[in-house]
Amino acid sequence: MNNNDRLSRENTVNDELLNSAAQQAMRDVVRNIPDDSLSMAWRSSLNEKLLAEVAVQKKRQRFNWYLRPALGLGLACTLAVLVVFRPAPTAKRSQGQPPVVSQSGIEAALVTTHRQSTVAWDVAGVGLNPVEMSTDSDSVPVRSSGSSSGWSEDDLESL
Amino acid sequence: MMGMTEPKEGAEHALVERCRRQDLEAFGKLVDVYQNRVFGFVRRMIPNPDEAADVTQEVFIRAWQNFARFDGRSSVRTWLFRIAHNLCIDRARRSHRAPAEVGLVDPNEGEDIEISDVRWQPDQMVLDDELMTVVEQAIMSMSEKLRSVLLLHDKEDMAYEEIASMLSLPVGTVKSRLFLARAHLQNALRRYTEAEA
Repeated sequence: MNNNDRLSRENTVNDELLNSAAQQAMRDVVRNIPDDSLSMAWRSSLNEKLLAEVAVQKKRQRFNWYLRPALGLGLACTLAVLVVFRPAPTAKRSQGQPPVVSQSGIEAALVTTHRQSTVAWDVAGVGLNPVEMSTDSDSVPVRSSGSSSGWSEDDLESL
Repeated sequence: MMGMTEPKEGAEHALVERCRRQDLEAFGKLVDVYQNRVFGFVRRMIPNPDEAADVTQEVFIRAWQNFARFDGRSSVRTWLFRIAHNLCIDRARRSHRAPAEVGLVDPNEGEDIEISDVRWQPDQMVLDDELMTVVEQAIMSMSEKLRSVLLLHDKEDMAYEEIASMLSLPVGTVKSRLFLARAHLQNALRRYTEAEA
Protein backbone atom coordinates (compact mmCIF):
# COMPACT_ATOMS: atom_id res chain seq x y z
CA MET A 1 0.00 0.00 0.00
CA ASN A 2 1.54 3.29 -0.95
CA ASN A 3 1.53 6.44 1.13
CA ASN A 4 -1.39 8.10 -0.66
CA ASP A 5 -3.61 5.06 -0.21
CA ARG A 6 -2.76 4.88 3.46
CA LEU A 7 -3.48 8.59 3.95
CA SER A 8 -6.79 8.44 2.11
CA ARG A 9 -7.80 5.39 4.16
CA GLU A 10 -6.91 7.20 7.39
CA ASN A 11 -8.94 10.19 6.26
CA THR A 12 -11.91 7.98 5.47
CA VAL A 13 -11.68 6.40 8.88
CA ASN A 14 -11.45 9.83 10.44
CA ASP A 15 -14.44 11.03 8.44
CA GLU A 16 -16.48 8.02 9.49
CA LEU A 17 -15.63 8.60 13.13
CA LEU A 18 -16.28 12.32 12.90
CA ASN A 19 -19.65 11.77 11.23
CA SER A 20 -20.90 9.39 13.92
CA ALA A 21 -24.00 10.47 15.81
CA ALA A 22 -22.17 11.10 19.07
CA GLN A 23 -19.58 13.28 17.39
CA GLN A 24 -22.22 15.21 15.47
CA ALA A 25 -24.14 15.75 18.68
CA MET A 26 -21.07 17.32 20.24
CA ARG A 27 -20.70 19.49 17.18
CA ASP A 28 -24.20 20.80 17.72
CA VAL A 29 -23.50 21.44 21.39
CA VAL A 30 -20.53 23.61 20.48
CA ARG A 31 -22.42 25.33 17.68
CA ASN A 32 -25.22 26.24 20.08
CA ILE A 33 -22.97 27.99 22.54
CA PRO A 34 -24.36 31.52 22.63
CA ASP A 35 -22.29 34.23 20.96
CA ASP A 36 -20.33 36.60 23.08
CA SER A 37 -20.74 40.32 22.80
CA LEU A 38 -18.42 43.14 23.58
CA SER A 39 -19.42 46.37 25.24
CA MET A 40 -19.59 49.79 23.62
CA ALA A 41 -16.84 50.87 26.00
CA TRP A 42 -14.61 48.19 24.51
CA ARG A 43 -15.37 49.44 21.01
CA SER A 44 -14.79 53.04 22.01
CA SER A 45 -11.45 52.08 23.51
CA LEU A 46 -10.51 50.23 20.31
CA ASN A 47 -11.44 53.26 18.22
CA GLU A 48 -9.19 55.44 20.35
CA LYS A 49 -6.32 53.01 19.94
CA LEU A 50 -6.87 52.84 16.19
CA LEU A 51 -6.92 56.63 15.93
CA ALA A 52 -3.69 56.80 17.90
CA GLU A 53 -2.22 54.20 15.53
CA VAL A 54 -3.33 56.26 12.52
CA ALA A 55 -1.62 59.33 14.01
CA VAL A 56 1.59 57.34 14.54
CA GLN A 57 1.45 56.03 10.97
CA LYS A 58 0.95 59.54 9.57
CA LYS A 59 3.83 60.82 11.65
CA ARG A 60 6.00 57.99 10.39
CA GLN A 61 5.00 58.71 6.81
CA ARG A 62 5.79 62.40 7.22
CA PHE A 63 9.12 61.57 8.81
CA ASN A 64 9.92 59.26 5.89
CA TRP A 65 8.85 61.97 3.45
CA TYR A 66 11.56 64.26 4.87
CA LEU A 67 14.04 61.58 5.77
CA ARG A 68 14.33 59.99 2.34
CA PRO A 69 15.43 63.14 0.45
CA ALA A 70 17.72 64.03 3.35
CA LEU A 71 19.32 60.61 3.17
CA GLY A 72 19.73 60.92 -0.60
CA LEU A 73 21.29 64.34 -0.25
CA GLY A 74 23.65 63.13 2.44
CA LEU A 75 24.74 60.22 0.30
CA ALA A 76 25.33 62.49 -2.69
CA CYS A 77 27.40 64.89 -0.56
CA THR A 78 29.49 62.05 0.81
CA LEU A 79 30.21 60.79 -2.69
CA ALA A 80 31.08 64.30 -3.86
CA VAL A 81 33.51 64.79 -0.98
CA LEU A 82 35.11 61.45 -1.67
CA VAL A 83 35.57 62.24 -5.34
CA VAL A 84 36.91 65.77 -4.82
CA PHE A 85 39.28 65.01 -1.99
CA ARG A 86 40.44 61.69 -3.29
CA PRO A 87 44.22 61.31 -2.77
CA ALA A 88 46.31 61.33 -5.96
CA PRO A 89 47.23 57.84 -7.12
CA THR A 90 50.85 57.02 -6.28
CA ALA A 91 52.91 54.39 -8.01
CA LYS A 92 54.17 51.73 -5.66
CA ARG A 93 57.92 51.60 -5.46
CA SER A 94 60.48 50.34 -3.08
CA GLN A 95 62.55 52.80 -1.07
CA GLY A 96 65.58 54.33 -2.76
CA GLN A 97 64.49 53.41 -6.25
CA PRO A 98 63.45 56.01 -8.79
CA PRO A 99 59.84 56.04 -9.91
CA VAL A 100 59.00 53.82 -12.80
CA VAL A 101 58.64 55.87 -15.93
CA SER A 102 57.74 54.73 -19.36
CA GLN A 103 60.69 54.53 -21.64
CA SER A 104 59.10 55.90 -24.74
CA GLY A 105 58.35 59.38 -25.93
CA ILE A 106 59.24 62.85 -24.98
CA GLU A 107 58.22 62.32 -21.38
CA ALA A 108 61.00 59.81 -20.84
CA ALA A 109 63.53 62.16 -22.42
CA LEU A 110 62.43 65.03 -20.20
CA VAL A 111 62.66 62.92 -17.08
CA THR A 112 66.14 61.69 -18.01
CA THR A 113 67.35 65.22 -18.62
CA HIS A 114 65.87 66.36 -15.33
CA ARG A 115 67.57 63.55 -13.44
CA GLN A 116 70.94 64.28 -15.01
CA SER A 117 70.71 67.98 -14.27
CA THR A 118 69.75 67.21 -10.68
CA VAL A 119 72.79 64.98 -10.29
CA ALA A 120 75.01 67.63 -11.93
CA TRP A 121 73.69 70.26 -9.54
CA ASP A 122 74.46 68.01 -6.59
CA VAL A 123 78.02 67.32 -7.79
CA ALA A 124 79.22 70.56 -9.27
CA GLY A 125 76.75 73.31 -8.65
CA VAL A 126 75.38 75.74 -11.21
CA GLY A 127 76.93 75.97 -14.64
CA LEU A 128 78.00 72.44 -15.38
CA ASN A 129 75.79 70.82 -17.88
CA PRO A 130 75.12 67.12 -18.07
CA VAL A 131 77.32 66.69 -21.14
CA GLU A 132 80.29 68.24 -19.39
CA MET A 133 79.70 66.15 -16.35
CA SER A 134 79.53 62.92 -18.22
CA THR A 135 82.78 63.64 -20.20
CA ASP A 136 85.57 61.42 -19.06
CA SER A 137 88.42 63.90 -19.51
CA ASP A 138 91.12 64.12 -16.86
CA SER A 139 91.13 67.48 -15.26
CA VAL A 140 94.59 68.97 -14.91
CA PRO A 141 95.14 71.84 -12.48
CA VAL A 142 96.55 75.04 -14.02
CA ARG A 143 100.17 75.52 -13.26
CA SER A 144 101.13 78.72 -11.58
CA SER A 145 104.53 78.94 -13.23
CA GLY A 146 104.68 80.53 -16.62
CA SER A 147 102.14 81.08 -19.32
CA SER A 148 102.05 81.10 -23.05
CA SER A 149 101.80 84.89 -23.18
CA GLY A 150 104.88 85.41 -20.95
CA TRP A 151 103.03 87.39 -18.29
CA SER A 152 103.29 86.48 -14.65
CA GLU A 153 101.11 87.33 -11.70
CA ASP A 154 103.63 89.82 -10.45
CA ASP A 155 103.36 91.70 -13.72
CA LEU A 156 99.64 91.89 -13.33
CA GLU A 157 99.92 93.25 -9.82
CA SER A 158 102.29 95.98 -10.93
CA LEU A 159 99.75 97.27 -13.42
CA MET B 1 -23.53 44.93 16.42
CA MET B 2 -24.60 41.49 17.42
CA GLY B 3 -26.64 41.10 14.30
CA MET B 4 -23.77 41.86 11.94
CA THR B 5 -23.42 39.08 9.42
CA GLU B 6 -20.42 38.21 7.34
CA PRO B 7 -20.32 40.38 4.21
CA LYS B 8 -20.69 38.77 0.80
CA GLU B 9 -17.52 38.04 -1.11
CA GLY B 10 -17.74 41.08 -3.38
CA ALA B 11 -18.59 43.43 -0.55
CA GLU B 12 -15.79 42.02 1.58
CA HIS B 13 -13.34 42.43 -1.28
CA ALA B 14 -14.32 46.09 -1.60
CA LEU B 15 -13.92 46.56 2.15
CA VAL B 16 -10.51 44.90 2.06
CA GLU B 17 -9.38 47.19 -0.77
CA ARG B 18 -10.46 50.23 1.22
CA CYS B 19 -8.71 48.91 4.33
CA ARG B 20 -5.52 48.46 2.34
CA ARG B 21 -5.73 52.16 1.53
CA GLN B 22 -5.90 52.84 5.27
CA ASP B 23 -9.60 53.67 5.28
CA LEU B 24 -10.51 53.60 8.96
CA GLU B 25 -14.25 53.69 8.27
CA ALA B 26 -14.06 50.52 6.16
CA PHE B 27 -11.95 48.87 8.82
CA GLY B 28 -14.60 49.80 11.39
CA LYS B 29 -17.14 47.86 9.34
CA LEU B 30 -14.92 44.79 9.38
CA VAL B 31 -14.54 45.16 13.13
CA ASP B 32 -18.32 45.32 13.48
CA VAL B 33 -18.66 42.07 11.59
CA TYR B 34 -15.96 40.05 13.33
CA GLN B 35 -15.42 41.50 16.80
CA ASN B 36 -17.82 39.22 18.67
CA ARG B 37 -16.72 36.09 16.87
CA VAL B 38 -13.06 36.83 17.45
CA PHE B 39 -13.80 37.64 21.07
CA GLY B 40 -15.73 34.37 21.45
CA PHE B 41 -12.71 32.44 20.25
CA VAL B 42 -10.20 34.40 22.31
CA ARG B 43 -12.31 34.20 25.48
CA ARG B 44 -12.29 30.41 25.28
CA MET B 45 -8.57 30.34 24.64
CA ILE B 46 -7.77 32.78 27.46
CA PRO B 47 -9.78 32.23 30.63
CA ASN B 48 -9.60 35.79 31.97
CA PRO B 49 -12.36 37.83 30.23
CA ASP B 50 -10.58 41.20 30.68
CA GLU B 51 -7.41 39.77 29.24
CA ALA B 52 -9.44 38.24 26.40
CA ALA B 53 -10.97 41.65 25.61
CA ASP B 54 -7.50 43.20 25.53
CA VAL B 55 -6.21 40.48 23.24
CA THR B 56 -9.20 40.96 20.94
CA GLN B 57 -8.33 44.66 20.66
CA GLU B 58 -4.76 43.69 19.90
CA VAL B 59 -5.98 41.40 17.14
CA PHE B 60 -7.69 44.28 15.36
CA ILE B 61 -4.82 46.68 15.92
CA ARG B 62 -2.39 44.14 14.45
CA ALA B 63 -4.76 43.65 11.53
CA TRP B 64 -4.88 47.40 10.92
CA GLN B 65 -1.11 47.70 11.12
CA ASN B 66 -0.55 44.84 8.69
CA PHE B 67 -3.44 45.23 6.27
CA ALA B 68 -1.07 46.27 3.48
CA ARG B 69 0.53 42.82 3.79
CA PHE B 70 -2.76 40.93 3.62
CA ASP B 71 -2.50 39.17 0.27
CA GLY B 72 -6.11 38.02 0.03
CA ARG B 73 -5.22 34.35 -0.49
CA SER B 74 -7.30 33.47 2.54
CA SER B 75 -10.48 35.15 3.71
CA VAL B 76 -10.38 38.04 6.16
CA ARG B 77 -12.05 35.80 8.71
CA THR B 78 -9.29 33.18 8.46
CA TRP B 79 -6.64 35.87 8.62
CA LEU B 80 -8.18 37.47 11.73
CA PHE B 81 -8.53 34.11 13.47
CA ARG B 82 -4.93 33.27 12.62
CA ILE B 83 -3.78 36.49 14.28
CA ALA B 84 -6.04 35.74 17.24
CA HIS B 85 -4.73 32.19 17.55
CA ASN B 86 -1.11 33.31 17.41
CA LEU B 87 -1.68 36.00 20.03
CA CYS B 88 -3.44 33.53 22.33
CA ILE B 89 -0.60 31.04 22.02
CA ASP B 90 1.97 33.78 22.67
CA ARG B 91 0.03 34.96 25.70
CA ALA B 92 -0.27 31.45 27.09
CA ARG B 93 3.45 30.82 26.62
CA ARG B 94 4.34 34.07 28.33
CA SER B 95 2.11 33.51 31.32
CA HIS B 96 3.29 29.88 31.66
CA ARG B 97 -0.14 28.87 32.68
CA ALA B 98 -0.38 25.14 33.13
CA PRO B 99 -3.87 24.11 34.11
CA ALA B 100 -4.83 20.47 34.31
CA GLU B 101 -5.19 20.10 30.59
CA VAL B 102 -6.34 17.09 28.67
CA GLY B 103 -3.47 15.56 26.81
CA LEU B 104 -3.46 15.39 23.06
CA VAL B 105 -3.45 11.61 23.03
CA ASP B 106 -5.76 9.89 25.45
CA PRO B 107 -6.47 6.28 24.52
CA ASN B 108 -9.74 6.16 26.45
CA GLU B 109 -11.09 9.13 24.53
CA GLY B 110 -10.62 7.42 21.24
CA GLU B 111 -13.52 5.10 21.87
CA ASP B 112 -16.74 5.80 20.11
CA ILE B 113 -19.22 6.59 22.80
CA GLU B 114 -22.85 6.35 21.83
CA ILE B 115 -25.20 8.58 23.68
CA SER B 116 -28.61 7.14 24.07
CA ASP B 117 -29.99 10.12 25.91
CA VAL B 118 -32.47 11.85 23.64
CA ARG B 119 -31.52 15.21 25.08
CA TRP B 120 -28.41 15.11 22.91
CA GLN B 121 -30.38 15.07 19.73
CA PRO B 122 -29.69 18.41 18.06
CA ASP B 123 -33.28 19.37 17.51
CA GLN B 124 -34.27 18.67 21.12
CA MET B 125 -31.30 20.20 22.73
CA VAL B 126 -31.82 23.10 25.00
CA LEU B 127 -28.74 24.28 26.72
CA ASP B 128 -29.56 25.83 30.01
CA ASP B 129 -27.12 27.90 32.00
CA GLU B 130 -25.88 25.03 34.09
CA LEU B 131 -25.24 22.82 31.14
CA MET B 132 -23.55 25.69 29.36
CA THR B 133 -21.19 26.10 32.28
CA VAL B 134 -20.31 22.41 32.05
CA VAL B 135 -19.65 22.73 28.32
CA GLU B 136 -17.51 25.84 28.84
CA GLN B 137 -15.54 24.14 31.60
CA ALA B 138 -15.01 21.07 29.47
CA ILE B 139 -13.72 23.22 26.62
CA MET B 140 -11.44 25.18 28.94
CA SER B 141 -9.97 22.00 30.38
CA MET B 142 -8.82 20.78 26.95
CA SER B 143 -5.33 21.40 25.70
CA GLU B 144 -5.00 24.48 23.49
CA LYS B 145 -4.37 22.25 20.51
CA LEU B 146 -7.68 20.43 20.85
CA ARG B 147 -9.59 23.51 21.91
CA SER B 148 -8.55 25.67 18.98
CA VAL B 149 -9.50 23.01 16.43
CA LEU B 150 -12.86 22.36 18.11
CA LEU B 151 -13.76 26.05 18.24
CA LEU B 152 -12.61 26.81 14.72
CA HIS B 153 -14.46 23.88 13.19
CA ASP B 154 -17.58 23.48 15.27
CA LYS B 155 -18.16 27.06 16.41
CA GLU B 156 -16.75 29.03 13.50
CA ASP B 157 -17.71 26.47 10.87
CA MET B 158 -14.31 26.51 9.20
CA ALA B 159 -13.38 23.75 6.76
CA TYR B 160 -10.71 21.20 7.69
CA GLU B 161 -8.42 22.52 4.96
CA GLU B 162 -8.85 26.08 6.15
CA ILE B 163 -7.92 25.12 9.70
CA ALA B 164 -5.03 23.00 8.49
CA SER B 165 -3.66 25.93 6.50
CA MET B 166 -4.19 28.32 9.39
CA LEU B 167 -2.47 26.15 11.99
CA SER B 168 0.11 24.72 9.56
CA LEU B 169 -1.03 21.16 10.21
CA PRO B 170 -1.92 18.21 8.01
CA VAL B 171 -5.66 17.77 7.47
CA GLY B 172 -5.49 14.34 9.12
CA THR B 173 -4.10 15.88 12.30
CA VAL B 174 -6.90 18.44 12.33
CA LYS B 175 -9.46 15.65 12.09
CA SER B 176 -7.79 13.60 14.82
CA ARG B 177 -7.69 16.59 17.14
CA LEU B 178 -11.30 17.38 16.43
CA PHE B 179 -12.30 13.80 17.19
CA LEU B 180 -10.41 13.84 20.50
CA ALA B 181 -11.85 17.22 21.46
CA ARG B 182 -15.42 16.09 20.84
CA ALA B 183 -14.80 12.85 22.70
CA HIS B 184 -13.50 14.83 25.67
CA LEU B 185 -16.56 17.04 25.62
CA GLN B 186 -18.75 13.98 25.37
CA ASN B 187 -17.12 12.47 28.46
CA ALA B 188 -17.63 15.65 30.43
CA LEU B 189 -21.29 15.82 29.50
CA ARG B 190 -21.81 12.14 30.32
CA ARG B 191 -20.30 12.66 33.75
CA TYR B 192 -22.62 15.62 34.21
CA THR B 193 -25.75 13.67 33.21
CA GLU B 194 -24.76 10.72 35.40
CA ALA B 195 -24.32 13.06 38.34
CA GLU B 196 -27.67 14.66 37.61
CA ALA B 197 -29.35 11.26 37.42
